[in-house]
Amino acid sequence: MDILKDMLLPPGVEHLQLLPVLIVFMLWVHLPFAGIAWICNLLSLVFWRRDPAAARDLGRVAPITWSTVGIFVVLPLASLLFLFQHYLYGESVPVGSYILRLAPAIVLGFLLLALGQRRQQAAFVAAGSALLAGGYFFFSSVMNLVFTPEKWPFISRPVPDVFSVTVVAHFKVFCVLAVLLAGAAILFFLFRWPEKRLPADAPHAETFRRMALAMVAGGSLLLPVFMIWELYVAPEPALSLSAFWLSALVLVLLAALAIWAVTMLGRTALRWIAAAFVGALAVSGLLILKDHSLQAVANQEHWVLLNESSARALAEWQGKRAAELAKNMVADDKLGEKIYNDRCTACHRFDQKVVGPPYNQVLPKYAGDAEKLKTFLRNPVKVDPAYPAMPNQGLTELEVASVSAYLLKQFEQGK
Amino acid sequence: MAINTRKLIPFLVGYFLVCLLAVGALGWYWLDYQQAPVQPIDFSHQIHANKLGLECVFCHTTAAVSARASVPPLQRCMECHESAATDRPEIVKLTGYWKARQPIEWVKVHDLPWHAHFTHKRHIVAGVDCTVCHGQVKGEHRVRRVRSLMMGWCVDCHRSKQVSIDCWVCHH
Repeated sequence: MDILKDMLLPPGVEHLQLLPVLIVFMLWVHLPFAGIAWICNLLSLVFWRRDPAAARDLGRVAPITWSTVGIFVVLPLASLLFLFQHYLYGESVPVGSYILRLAPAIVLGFLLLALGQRRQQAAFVAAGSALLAGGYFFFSSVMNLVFTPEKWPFISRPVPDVFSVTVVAHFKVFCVLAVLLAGAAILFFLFRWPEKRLPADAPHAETFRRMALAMVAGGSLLLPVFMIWELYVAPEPALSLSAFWLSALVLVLLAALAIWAVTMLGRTALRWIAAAFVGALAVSGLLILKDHSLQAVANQEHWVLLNESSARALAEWQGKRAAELAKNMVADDKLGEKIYNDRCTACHRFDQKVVGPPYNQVLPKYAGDAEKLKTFLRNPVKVDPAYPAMPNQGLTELEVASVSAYLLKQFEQGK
Repeated sequence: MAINTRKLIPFLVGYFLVCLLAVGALGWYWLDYQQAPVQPIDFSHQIHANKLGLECVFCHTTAAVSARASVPPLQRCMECHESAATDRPEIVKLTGYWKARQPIEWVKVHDLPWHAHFTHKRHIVAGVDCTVCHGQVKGEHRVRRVRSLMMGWCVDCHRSKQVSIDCWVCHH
Protein backbone atom coordinates (compact mmCIF):
# COMPACT_ATOMS: atom_id res chain seq x y z
CA MET A 1 0.00 0.00 0.00
CA ASP A 2 1.66 3.17 -1.23
CA ILE A 3 0.39 5.38 1.61
CA LEU A 4 2.19 3.14 4.14
CA LYS A 5 5.40 3.16 2.11
CA ASP A 6 5.32 6.95 1.86
CA MET A 7 4.95 7.29 5.62
CA LEU A 8 8.18 5.42 6.43
CA LEU A 9 11.84 6.28 6.08
CA PRO A 10 14.33 3.48 5.34
CA PRO A 11 15.50 1.90 8.62
CA GLY A 12 19.03 2.59 9.87
CA VAL A 13 21.46 -0.09 11.10
CA GLU A 14 20.44 0.48 14.75
CA HIS A 15 16.74 0.29 13.84
CA LEU A 16 17.33 -3.02 12.15
CA GLN A 17 18.67 -4.46 15.40
CA LEU A 18 15.78 -3.09 17.44
CA LEU A 19 12.91 -4.03 15.10
CA PRO A 20 12.86 -7.82 15.79
CA VAL A 21 12.90 -7.20 19.56
CA LEU A 22 9.90 -4.87 19.28
CA ILE A 23 8.03 -7.27 16.99
CA VAL A 24 8.52 -10.20 19.40
CA PHE A 25 7.46 -8.00 22.34
CA MET A 26 4.30 -6.73 20.61
CA LEU A 27 3.28 -10.23 19.54
CA TRP A 28 3.82 -11.40 23.12
CA VAL A 29 1.64 -8.58 24.43
CA HIS A 30 -1.13 -9.33 21.96
CA LEU A 31 -1.38 -13.06 21.30
CA PRO A 32 -1.70 -14.44 24.88
CA PHE A 33 -4.45 -11.93 25.71
CA ALA A 34 -6.22 -12.62 22.42
CA GLY A 35 -6.02 -16.40 22.94
CA ILE A 36 -7.28 -16.25 26.54
CA ALA A 37 -10.16 -13.86 25.73
CA TRP A 38 -11.20 -15.86 22.66
CA ILE A 39 -11.25 -19.29 24.36
CA CYS A 40 -12.85 -18.02 27.61
CA ASN A 41 -15.66 -16.39 25.63
CA LEU A 42 -16.13 -19.52 23.52
CA LEU A 43 -16.37 -21.55 26.75
CA SER A 44 -18.83 -19.08 28.23
CA LEU A 45 -21.21 -19.97 25.38
CA VAL A 46 -21.25 -23.57 26.68
CA PHE A 47 -22.42 -22.35 30.12
CA TRP A 48 -24.63 -19.54 28.79
CA ARG A 49 -28.09 -21.16 29.26
CA ARG A 50 -27.62 -23.63 32.09
CA ASP A 51 -25.39 -21.50 34.35
CA PRO A 52 -25.30 -17.76 33.48
CA ALA A 53 -23.17 -16.97 36.56
CA ALA A 54 -20.48 -19.33 35.32
CA ALA A 55 -20.61 -17.73 31.87
CA ARG A 56 -20.16 -14.27 33.46
CA ASP A 57 -17.23 -15.53 35.54
CA LEU A 58 -15.49 -16.83 32.42
CA GLY A 59 -15.98 -13.40 30.85
CA ARG A 60 -14.15 -11.89 33.86
CA VAL A 61 -10.94 -13.88 33.20
CA ALA A 62 -9.86 -11.58 30.37
CA PRO A 63 -12.25 -8.62 30.64
CA ILE A 64 -12.73 -6.79 27.37
CA THR A 65 -12.87 -3.08 28.21
CA TRP A 66 -11.75 0.05 26.38
CA SER A 67 -8.41 -0.06 28.22
CA THR A 68 -7.68 -3.80 27.65
CA VAL A 69 -8.68 -3.55 23.99
CA GLY A 70 -6.48 -0.46 23.68
CA ILE A 71 -3.43 -1.94 25.42
CA PHE A 72 -3.59 -5.57 24.29
CA VAL A 73 -5.23 -5.27 20.85
CA VAL A 74 -5.19 -1.85 19.16
CA LEU A 75 -1.73 -0.72 20.31
CA PRO A 76 0.09 -3.99 19.42
CA LEU A 77 -1.70 -4.37 16.06
CA ALA A 78 -0.99 -0.75 15.09
CA SER A 79 2.64 -1.16 16.19
CA LEU A 80 3.00 -4.47 14.33
CA LEU A 81 1.69 -2.85 11.16
CA PHE A 82 4.45 -0.23 11.19
CA LEU A 83 7.11 -2.55 12.58
CA PHE A 84 6.58 -5.14 9.83
CA GLN A 85 6.38 -2.41 7.23
CA HIS A 86 9.79 -1.21 8.45
CA TYR A 87 11.17 -4.75 8.87
CA LEU A 88 10.32 -5.57 5.24
CA TYR A 89 11.16 -2.12 3.87
CA GLY A 90 11.64 -2.08 0.12
CA GLU A 91 10.12 -5.54 -0.43
CA SER A 92 6.98 -6.10 -2.47
CA VAL A 93 5.36 -8.31 0.18
CA PRO A 94 2.23 -6.52 1.49
CA VAL A 95 2.40 -7.70 5.13
CA GLY A 96 1.58 -4.19 6.41
CA SER A 97 -1.45 -3.95 4.13
CA TYR A 98 -2.68 -7.37 5.20
CA ILE A 99 -2.44 -6.41 8.88
CA LEU A 100 -4.20 -3.13 8.06
CA ARG A 101 -7.08 -5.08 6.53
CA LEU A 102 -7.19 -7.70 9.29
CA ALA A 103 -6.93 -5.35 12.27
CA PRO A 104 -10.48 -3.87 11.95
CA ALA A 105 -11.97 -7.39 11.80
CA ILE A 106 -10.04 -8.45 14.91
CA VAL A 107 -10.92 -5.25 16.82
CA LEU A 108 -14.58 -5.67 15.76
CA GLY A 109 -14.46 -9.27 17.05
CA PHE A 110 -13.30 -8.04 20.47
CA LEU A 111 -15.94 -5.28 20.52
CA LEU A 112 -18.66 -7.85 19.76
CA LEU A 113 -17.39 -10.00 22.64
CA ALA A 114 -17.48 -6.96 24.94
CA LEU A 115 -21.01 -6.07 23.78
CA GLY A 116 -22.17 -9.66 24.25
CA GLN A 117 -20.78 -9.83 27.78
CA ARG A 118 -22.21 -6.45 28.76
CA ARG A 119 -25.71 -7.01 27.31
CA GLN A 120 -25.71 -10.72 28.03
CA GLN A 121 -26.33 -11.55 24.37
CA ALA A 122 -24.92 -14.92 23.34
CA ALA A 123 -25.32 -14.07 19.64
CA PHE A 124 -22.80 -11.22 19.91
CA VAL A 125 -20.33 -13.44 21.75
CA ALA A 126 -20.74 -16.17 19.11
CA ALA A 127 -20.31 -13.67 16.26
CA GLY A 128 -17.26 -12.10 17.94
CA SER A 129 -15.67 -15.53 18.52
CA ALA A 130 -16.27 -16.56 14.90
CA LEU A 131 -14.79 -13.29 13.64
CA LEU A 132 -11.72 -13.78 15.84
CA ALA A 133 -11.28 -17.38 14.63
CA GLY A 134 -11.28 -16.18 11.03
CA GLY A 135 -9.13 -13.16 11.85
CA TYR A 136 -6.42 -15.25 13.54
CA PHE A 137 -6.47 -17.83 10.76
CA PHE A 138 -5.56 -15.04 8.33
CA PHE A 139 -3.13 -13.57 10.88
CA SER A 140 -1.34 -16.96 11.02
CA SER A 141 -1.10 -16.82 7.25
CA VAL A 142 0.45 -13.33 7.37
CA MET A 143 3.03 -14.42 9.97
CA ASN A 144 3.75 -17.49 7.85
CA LEU A 145 4.28 -15.29 4.81
CA VAL A 146 7.07 -13.37 6.57
CA PHE A 147 9.27 -16.50 6.69
CA THR A 148 8.57 -17.66 3.13
CA PRO A 149 10.22 -14.89 1.07
CA GLU A 150 10.33 -17.03 -2.05
CA LYS A 151 6.53 -16.58 -2.33
CA TRP A 152 6.72 -12.78 -2.21
CA PRO A 153 7.20 -12.11 -5.93
CA PHE A 154 4.09 -14.14 -6.81
CA ILE A 155 1.54 -12.51 -4.48
CA SER A 156 -1.34 -11.09 -6.44
CA ARG A 157 -4.39 -11.47 -4.18
CA PRO A 158 -5.62 -8.74 -1.80
CA VAL A 159 -5.87 -11.30 1.04
CA PRO A 160 -3.16 -13.68 2.27
CA ASP A 161 -3.15 -17.27 1.05
CA VAL A 162 -4.71 -19.65 3.62
CA PHE A 163 -4.69 -22.84 1.52
CA SER A 164 -1.34 -24.03 2.72
CA VAL A 165 -0.35 -26.84 5.05
CA THR A 166 2.12 -24.56 6.88
CA VAL A 167 -0.65 -22.01 7.57
CA VAL A 168 -2.97 -24.72 8.94
CA ALA A 169 -0.16 -26.04 11.18
CA HIS A 170 0.60 -22.52 12.40
CA PHE A 171 -3.06 -21.82 13.19
CA LYS A 172 -3.48 -25.11 15.06
CA VAL A 173 -0.48 -24.27 17.24
CA PHE A 174 -2.16 -20.95 18.03
CA CYS A 175 -5.50 -22.63 18.88
CA VAL A 176 -3.99 -25.25 21.19
CA LEU A 177 -1.77 -22.63 22.82
CA ALA A 178 -4.88 -20.48 23.39
CA VAL A 179 -6.60 -23.41 25.15
CA LEU A 180 -3.54 -24.00 27.34
CA LEU A 181 -3.23 -20.30 28.21
CA ALA A 182 -6.97 -19.97 28.89
CA GLY A 183 -6.85 -22.95 31.27
CA ALA A 184 -3.90 -21.48 33.16
CA ALA A 185 -5.56 -18.04 33.20
CA ILE A 186 -8.86 -19.42 34.59
CA LEU A 187 -6.93 -21.07 37.42
CA PHE A 188 -4.80 -18.00 38.08
CA PHE A 189 -7.51 -15.33 37.97
CA LEU A 190 -10.46 -17.25 39.45
CA PHE A 191 -8.56 -19.26 42.09
CA ARG A 192 -5.55 -17.12 42.96
CA TRP A 193 -5.99 -13.42 42.04
CA PRO A 194 -7.51 -11.72 45.13
CA GLU A 195 -9.84 -9.33 43.26
CA LYS A 196 -11.38 -11.89 40.92
CA ARG A 197 -11.25 -14.97 43.11
CA LEU A 198 -14.37 -17.16 43.07
CA PRO A 199 -16.12 -17.47 46.43
CA ALA A 200 -15.39 -20.81 48.11
CA ASP A 201 -19.06 -21.81 47.89
CA ALA A 202 -19.47 -20.97 44.17
CA PRO A 203 -21.39 -23.90 42.67
CA HIS A 204 -19.28 -24.04 39.51
CA ALA A 205 -15.89 -23.73 41.25
CA GLU A 206 -15.15 -27.47 41.14
CA THR A 207 -16.29 -27.70 37.49
CA PHE A 208 -14.00 -24.79 36.57
CA ARG A 209 -11.10 -26.30 38.49
CA ARG A 210 -11.33 -29.61 36.67
CA MET A 211 -12.07 -28.04 33.30
CA ALA A 212 -9.12 -25.62 33.54
CA LEU A 213 -6.72 -28.36 34.70
CA ALA A 214 -7.93 -30.58 31.84
CA MET A 215 -7.34 -27.67 29.43
CA VAL A 216 -3.77 -27.22 30.71
CA ALA A 217 -3.07 -30.96 30.57
CA GLY A 218 -4.77 -31.42 27.17
CA GLY A 219 -3.12 -28.33 25.69
CA SER A 220 0.30 -29.43 26.95
CA LEU A 221 -0.17 -32.89 25.45
CA LEU A 222 -1.55 -31.73 22.10
CA LEU A 223 0.75 -28.77 21.51
CA PRO A 224 3.90 -30.92 20.88
CA VAL A 225 2.08 -32.79 18.09
CA PHE A 226 1.21 -29.61 16.19
CA MET A 227 4.55 -28.00 17.03
CA ILE A 228 6.45 -30.94 15.54
CA TRP A 229 4.13 -30.91 12.54
CA GLU A 230 4.82 -27.20 12.11
CA LEU A 231 8.58 -27.82 12.27
CA TYR A 232 8.24 -30.67 9.77
CA VAL A 233 6.43 -28.53 7.18
CA ALA A 234 8.37 -25.29 7.82
CA PRO A 235 10.32 -24.11 4.75
CA GLU A 236 13.81 -25.60 4.97
CA PRO A 237 15.68 -22.38 4.12
CA ALA A 238 14.03 -20.73 7.17
CA LEU A 239 15.09 -23.35 9.71
CA SER A 240 18.02 -22.93 12.04
CA LEU A 241 19.40 -24.69 15.08
CA SER A 242 17.83 -22.10 17.37
CA ALA A 243 14.34 -23.12 16.14
CA PHE A 244 15.02 -26.68 17.29
CA TRP A 245 16.54 -25.62 20.62
CA LEU A 246 13.58 -23.34 21.36
CA SER A 247 11.17 -26.17 20.48
CA ALA A 248 13.03 -28.49 22.87
CA LEU A 249 12.78 -25.86 25.60
CA VAL A 250 9.04 -25.52 24.97
CA LEU A 251 8.69 -29.31 25.30
CA VAL A 252 10.44 -29.26 28.69
CA LEU A 253 8.07 -26.52 29.92
CA LEU A 254 5.04 -28.35 28.51
CA ALA A 255 6.12 -31.55 30.26
CA ALA A 256 6.31 -29.67 33.58
CA LEU A 257 2.88 -28.10 32.96
CA ALA A 258 1.29 -31.44 32.00
CA ILE A 259 2.73 -33.22 35.07
CA TRP A 260 1.56 -30.34 37.29
CA ALA A 261 -1.97 -30.34 35.83
CA VAL A 262 -2.34 -34.12 36.07
CA THR A 263 -1.03 -34.11 39.65
CA MET A 264 -3.44 -31.31 40.62
CA LEU A 265 -6.34 -33.22 39.07
CA GLY A 266 -5.67 -35.91 41.65
CA ARG A 267 -5.71 -33.46 44.58
CA THR A 268 -8.36 -31.28 46.13
CA ALA A 269 -6.12 -28.26 46.96
CA LEU A 270 -4.46 -26.27 44.17
CA ARG A 271 -0.80 -25.28 44.48
CA TRP A 272 1.73 -23.52 42.24
CA ILE A 273 -1.00 -21.82 40.21
CA ALA A 274 0.98 -18.60 39.61
CA ALA A 275 4.05 -20.58 38.49
CA ALA A 276 1.90 -22.56 36.04
CA PHE A 277 0.44 -19.35 34.58
CA VAL A 278 3.92 -17.86 34.20
CA GLY A 279 5.02 -21.16 32.60
CA ALA A 280 2.16 -20.97 30.09
CA LEU A 281 3.08 -17.37 29.25
CA ALA A 282 6.72 -18.47 28.87
CA VAL A 283 5.61 -21.18 26.41
CA SER A 284 3.83 -18.55 24.31
CA GLY A 285 6.91 -16.29 24.45
CA LEU A 286 9.22 -19.12 23.36
CA LEU A 287 6.92 -20.08 20.47
CA ILE A 288 6.89 -16.45 19.30
CA LEU A 289 10.70 -16.42 19.56
CA LYS A 290 10.84 -19.64 17.53
CA ASP A 291 8.72 -18.03 14.81
CA HIS A 292 11.01 -15.04 14.94
CA SER A 293 14.07 -17.27 14.46
CA LEU A 294 12.43 -18.67 11.29
CA GLN A 295 11.73 -15.14 10.07
CA ALA A 296 15.26 -13.96 10.85
CA VAL A 297 16.91 -16.82 8.93
CA ALA A 298 14.50 -16.59 6.00
CA ASN A 299 14.99 -12.82 5.71
CA GLN A 300 18.80 -12.79 5.90
CA GLU A 301 19.22 -11.71 2.28
CA HIS A 302 16.62 -8.96 2.61
CA TRP A 303 18.56 -7.71 5.64
CA VAL A 304 21.82 -7.76 3.73
CA LEU A 305 20.26 -5.37 1.19
CA LEU A 306 18.77 -3.14 3.90
CA ASN A 307 22.06 -3.02 5.82
CA GLU A 308 23.91 -2.21 2.61
CA SER A 309 21.57 0.62 1.68
CA SER A 310 21.68 2.18 5.15
CA ALA A 311 25.49 1.79 5.34
CA ARG A 312 25.77 3.37 1.87
CA ALA A 313 23.62 6.33 2.92
CA LEU A 314 25.76 6.78 6.05
CA ALA A 315 29.03 6.55 4.06
CA GLU A 316 27.77 9.16 1.58
CA TRP A 317 26.90 11.53 4.40
CA GLN A 318 30.24 10.95 6.14
CA GLY A 319 32.06 11.44 2.81
CA LYS A 320 30.40 14.80 2.21
CA ARG A 321 31.17 15.96 5.73
CA ALA A 322 34.78 14.77 5.55
CA ALA A 323 35.24 16.51 2.20
CA GLU A 324 34.10 19.80 3.71
CA LEU A 325 36.51 19.37 6.63
CA ALA A 326 39.37 18.40 4.35
CA LYS A 327 39.32 21.46 2.12
CA ASN A 328 42.11 23.17 4.07
CA MET A 329 44.04 20.06 5.08
CA VAL A 330 47.83 20.13 4.42
CA ALA A 331 49.19 16.91 2.92
CA ASP A 332 52.04 15.13 4.73
CA ASP A 333 54.60 13.84 2.21
CA LYS A 334 56.17 11.25 4.53
CA LEU A 335 52.79 9.89 5.54
CA GLY A 336 51.82 9.66 1.86
CA GLU A 337 54.97 7.66 1.08
CA LYS A 338 54.39 5.33 4.03
CA ILE A 339 50.78 4.57 2.96
CA TYR A 340 51.95 4.04 -0.60
CA ASN A 341 54.58 1.50 0.51
CA ASP A 342 52.39 -0.20 3.13
CA ARG A 343 49.14 -0.52 1.19
CA CYS A 344 49.15 0.61 -2.42
CA THR A 345 52.09 -1.50 -3.57
CA ALA A 346 50.24 -4.71 -2.64
CA CYS A 347 48.15 -4.27 -5.80
CA HIS A 348 49.66 -1.40 -7.84
CA ARG A 349 52.94 -0.44 -9.54
CA PHE A 350 53.53 2.64 -11.68
CA ASP A 351 54.60 0.77 -14.79
CA GLN A 352 53.13 -2.73 -14.53
CA LYS A 353 49.83 -4.52 -13.91
CA VAL A 354 49.66 -6.42 -10.59
CA VAL A 355 46.15 -6.96 -9.19
CA GLY A 356 45.03 -3.45 -10.06
CA PRO A 357 45.95 -1.35 -13.12
CA PRO A 358 49.37 0.38 -13.43
CA TYR A 359 49.38 3.96 -12.10
CA ASN A 360 50.78 5.34 -15.34
CA GLN A 361 47.57 4.15 -16.99
CA VAL A 362 45.06 5.55 -14.49
CA LEU A 363 46.69 8.63 -12.95
CA PRO A 364 46.66 10.87 -16.09
CA LYS A 365 42.93 11.48 -15.63
CA TYR A 366 43.57 12.80 -12.09
CA ALA A 367 46.52 15.05 -13.04
CA GLY A 368 45.72 18.56 -11.86
CA ASP A 369 42.55 17.37 -10.11
CA ALA A 370 43.58 16.07 -6.67
CA GLU A 371 39.99 16.40 -5.40
CA LYS A 372 38.77 13.83 -7.93
CA LEU A 373 41.47 11.38 -6.78
CA LYS A 374 40.61 12.03 -3.13
CA THR A 375 36.93 11.33 -3.83
CA PHE A 376 37.87 8.00 -5.41
CA LEU A 377 40.18 7.05 -2.52
CA ARG A 378 37.49 7.83 0.05
CA ASN A 379 34.97 5.56 -1.64
CA PRO A 380 36.55 3.42 -4.41
CA VAL A 381 34.20 2.08 -7.07
CA LYS A 382 34.76 -0.35 -9.92
CA VAL A 383 35.91 1.57 -13.00
CA ASP A 384 37.56 -0.85 -15.40
CA PRO A 385 35.70 -4.20 -15.83
CA ALA A 386 39.03 -5.89 -16.55
CA TYR A 387 40.10 -5.38 -12.92
CA PRO A 388 38.42 -6.21 -9.61
CA ALA A 389 37.06 -3.23 -7.66
CA MET A 390 39.50 -1.65 -5.21
CA PRO A 391 38.54 -2.34 -1.59
CA ASN A 392 37.88 0.68 0.62
CA GLN A 393 41.07 1.29 2.62
CA GLY A 394 39.32 3.17 5.42
CA LEU A 395 41.79 6.08 5.21
CA THR A 396 41.44 9.20 7.34
CA GLU A 397 41.13 12.56 5.60
CA LEU A 398 44.78 13.40 6.32
CA GLU A 399 45.84 10.02 4.88
CA VAL A 400 43.70 10.53 1.76
CA ALA A 401 45.15 14.01 1.21
CA SER A 402 48.74 12.79 1.82
CA VAL A 403 48.65 9.70 -0.38
CA SER A 404 46.86 11.45 -3.25
CA ALA A 405 49.43 14.28 -3.16
CA TYR A 406 52.28 11.73 -3.04
CA LEU A 407 50.90 9.70 -5.97
CA LEU A 408 50.35 12.75 -8.18
CA LYS A 409 53.82 14.12 -7.32
CA GLN A 410 55.49 10.79 -8.17
CA PHE A 411 53.53 10.59 -11.40
CA GLU A 412 54.55 14.13 -12.45
CA GLN A 413 58.23 13.43 -11.62
CA GLY A 414 58.22 10.14 -13.54
CA LYS A 415 56.80 11.65 -16.75
CA MET B 1 -13.30 -36.41 45.08
CA ALA B 2 -9.58 -36.90 44.59
CA ILE B 3 -8.39 -39.51 42.11
CA ASN B 4 -4.95 -41.07 41.98
CA THR B 5 -3.24 -39.60 38.93
CA ARG B 6 0.34 -40.33 39.97
CA LYS B 7 0.36 -43.52 37.91
CA LEU B 8 0.05 -41.40 34.78
CA ILE B 9 3.27 -39.47 35.37
CA PRO B 10 5.68 -42.10 33.91
CA PHE B 11 3.54 -42.20 30.75
CA LEU B 12 3.66 -38.41 30.51
CA VAL B 13 7.44 -38.41 30.93
CA GLY B 14 7.72 -41.10 28.25
CA TYR B 15 5.44 -39.14 25.89
CA PHE B 16 7.48 -35.95 26.20
CA LEU B 17 10.74 -37.87 25.79
CA VAL B 18 9.39 -39.29 22.52
CA CYS B 19 8.45 -35.73 21.43
CA LEU B 20 11.94 -34.49 22.36
CA LEU B 21 13.43 -37.33 20.32
CA ALA B 22 11.23 -36.34 17.37
CA VAL B 23 12.39 -32.71 17.57
CA GLY B 24 16.00 -33.91 17.92
CA ALA B 25 15.59 -36.19 14.88
CA LEU B 26 14.15 -33.34 12.78
CA GLY B 27 17.01 -31.10 13.93
CA TRP B 28 19.59 -33.76 13.08
CA TYR B 29 18.05 -34.31 9.65
CA TRP B 30 18.09 -30.57 8.96
CA LEU B 31 21.63 -30.15 10.27
CA ASP B 32 22.93 -33.06 8.23
CA TYR B 33 21.23 -32.27 4.93
CA GLN B 34 20.27 -28.62 4.82
CA GLN B 35 22.96 -26.54 6.51
CA ALA B 36 25.48 -24.69 4.42
CA PRO B 37 28.06 -27.37 3.55
CA VAL B 38 31.67 -26.97 4.64
CA GLN B 39 33.77 -26.43 1.52
CA PRO B 40 37.40 -27.60 1.04
CA ILE B 41 38.43 -23.91 1.01
CA ASP B 42 36.60 -21.34 3.11
CA PHE B 43 35.85 -19.15 0.10
CA SER B 44 33.94 -15.98 0.92
CA HIS B 45 31.42 -14.63 -1.60
CA GLN B 46 31.00 -11.70 0.77
CA ILE B 47 34.58 -10.54 0.13
CA HIS B 48 34.74 -11.31 -3.60
CA ALA B 49 31.23 -10.38 -4.77
CA ASN B 50 30.37 -7.72 -2.22
CA LYS B 51 33.57 -6.03 -1.02
CA LEU B 52 35.51 -6.36 -4.27
CA GLY B 53 32.41 -6.05 -6.46
CA LEU B 54 33.21 -8.92 -8.82
CA GLU B 55 30.34 -9.88 -11.11
CA CYS B 56 28.97 -13.43 -10.80
CA VAL B 57 30.11 -14.27 -14.36
CA PHE B 58 33.66 -13.11 -13.57
CA CYS B 59 34.15 -16.52 -11.92
CA HIS B 60 31.11 -18.52 -13.14
CA THR B 61 32.08 -17.81 -16.72
CA THR B 62 29.69 -20.14 -18.56
CA ALA B 63 26.48 -19.16 -16.73
CA ALA B 64 25.28 -16.91 -19.55
CA VAL B 65 26.31 -19.16 -22.42
CA SER B 66 25.57 -22.73 -21.35
CA ALA B 67 23.30 -24.89 -19.23
CA ARG B 68 25.75 -24.99 -16.35
CA ALA B 69 27.15 -22.02 -14.49
CA SER B 70 30.46 -23.87 -13.83
CA VAL B 71 32.88 -23.37 -10.97
CA PRO B 72 35.95 -21.35 -11.94
CA PRO B 73 39.16 -23.15 -12.85
CA LEU B 74 42.03 -22.73 -10.37
CA GLN B 75 43.77 -20.58 -12.92
CA ARG B 76 41.08 -17.89 -12.49
CA CYS B 77 41.72 -17.77 -8.72
CA MET B 78 45.47 -17.64 -9.21
CA GLU B 79 45.27 -14.68 -11.60
CA CYS B 80 44.82 -12.53 -8.52
CA HIS B 81 46.07 -14.74 -5.70
CA GLU B 82 49.49 -15.30 -7.15
CA SER B 83 50.22 -11.91 -5.63
CA ALA B 84 47.19 -10.93 -3.50
CA ALA B 85 46.76 -12.02 0.13
CA THR B 86 49.24 -14.86 -0.35
CA ASP B 87 49.95 -15.21 3.37
CA ARG B 88 46.36 -16.02 4.38
CA PRO B 89 45.83 -19.68 5.40
CA GLU B 90 43.03 -20.32 2.87
CA ILE B 91 45.15 -18.83 0.05
CA VAL B 92 48.08 -21.01 1.12
CA LYS B 93 45.70 -23.98 0.79
CA LEU B 94 44.60 -22.72 -2.63
CA THR B 95 48.21 -22.35 -3.76
CA GLY B 96 48.82 -25.90 -2.55
CA TYR B 97 46.09 -27.22 -4.87
CA TRP B 98 47.54 -25.13 -7.72
CA LYS B 99 51.08 -26.38 -7.25
CA ALA B 100 49.90 -30.00 -6.90
CA ARG B 101 47.83 -29.57 -10.11
CA GLN B 102 44.88 -30.91 -8.17
CA PRO B 103 41.28 -29.67 -8.69
CA ILE B 104 39.31 -28.45 -5.67
CA GLU B 105 36.36 -30.72 -4.90
CA TRP B 106 33.70 -28.10 -4.09
CA VAL B 107 30.46 -29.35 -2.52
CA LYS B 108 27.47 -28.53 -4.74
CA VAL B 109 24.92 -26.40 -2.85
CA HIS B 110 22.20 -25.83 -5.46
CA ASP B 111 21.59 -29.34 -6.66
CA LEU B 112 18.50 -30.32 -8.65
CA PRO B 113 17.24 -33.90 -9.10
CA TRP B 114 18.36 -35.66 -12.30
CA HIS B 115 14.87 -35.53 -13.82
CA ALA B 116 14.68 -31.73 -13.73
CA HIS B 117 16.47 -30.10 -16.65
CA PHE B 118 17.53 -26.54 -15.86
CA THR B 119 19.58 -24.31 -18.13
CA HIS B 120 21.29 -21.19 -16.79
CA LYS B 121 21.63 -19.64 -20.23
CA ARG B 122 17.88 -19.67 -20.97
CA HIS B 123 17.08 -17.96 -17.65
CA ILE B 124 19.82 -15.35 -17.86
CA VAL B 125 18.93 -14.49 -21.45
CA ALA B 126 15.31 -14.00 -20.28
CA GLY B 127 16.57 -11.47 -17.74
CA VAL B 128 16.21 -13.56 -14.57
CA ASP B 129 18.72 -12.21 -12.07
CA CYS B 130 21.04 -14.71 -10.33
CA THR B 131 19.61 -13.62 -6.95
CA VAL B 132 16.12 -14.88 -7.87
CA CYS B 133 17.25 -18.49 -7.37
CA HIS B 134 20.48 -18.09 -5.40
CA GLY B 135 19.53 -15.18 -3.10
CA GLN B 136 21.95 -12.46 -2.05
CA VAL B 137 25.01 -14.71 -2.27
CA LYS B 138 27.24 -11.65 -1.95
CA GLY B 139 25.98 -11.20 1.62
CA GLU B 140 26.86 -14.73 2.72
CA HIS B 141 30.24 -15.88 3.87
CA ARG B 142 29.41 -19.54 3.38
CA VAL B 143 26.79 -20.13 0.69
CA ARG B 144 23.62 -22.02 1.61
CA ARG B 145 20.36 -22.71 -0.19
CA VAL B 146 17.88 -19.91 0.45
CA ARG B 147 15.17 -21.11 -1.94
CA SER B 148 13.29 -24.39 -1.70
CA LEU B 149 13.93 -25.08 -5.44
CA MET B 150 10.74 -27.16 -5.33
CA MET B 151 8.60 -27.67 -8.45
CA GLY B 152 5.73 -25.55 -7.08
CA TRP B 153 8.06 -22.58 -6.73
CA CYS B 154 9.41 -22.95 -10.29
CA VAL B 155 5.85 -23.25 -11.63
CA ASP B 156 4.74 -20.14 -9.67
CA CYS B 157 7.55 -18.15 -11.29
CA HIS B 158 6.82 -19.54 -14.78
CA ARG B 159 3.12 -18.66 -14.34
CA SER B 160 3.88 -15.13 -13.13
CA LYS B 161 6.12 -14.52 -16.15
CA GLN B 162 3.68 -16.26 -18.52
CA VAL B 163 6.22 -18.88 -19.51
CA SER B 164 5.16 -22.40 -20.52
CA ILE B 165 4.44 -24.78 -17.65
CA ASP B 166 4.26 -27.86 -19.86
CA CYS B 167 5.89 -30.87 -18.17
CA TRP B 168 8.35 -31.39 -21.00
CA VAL B 169 9.83 -27.90 -20.54
CA CYS B 170 11.78 -29.17 -17.52
CA HIS B 171 11.33 -32.96 -17.65
CA HIS B 172 12.69 -34.38 -20.88
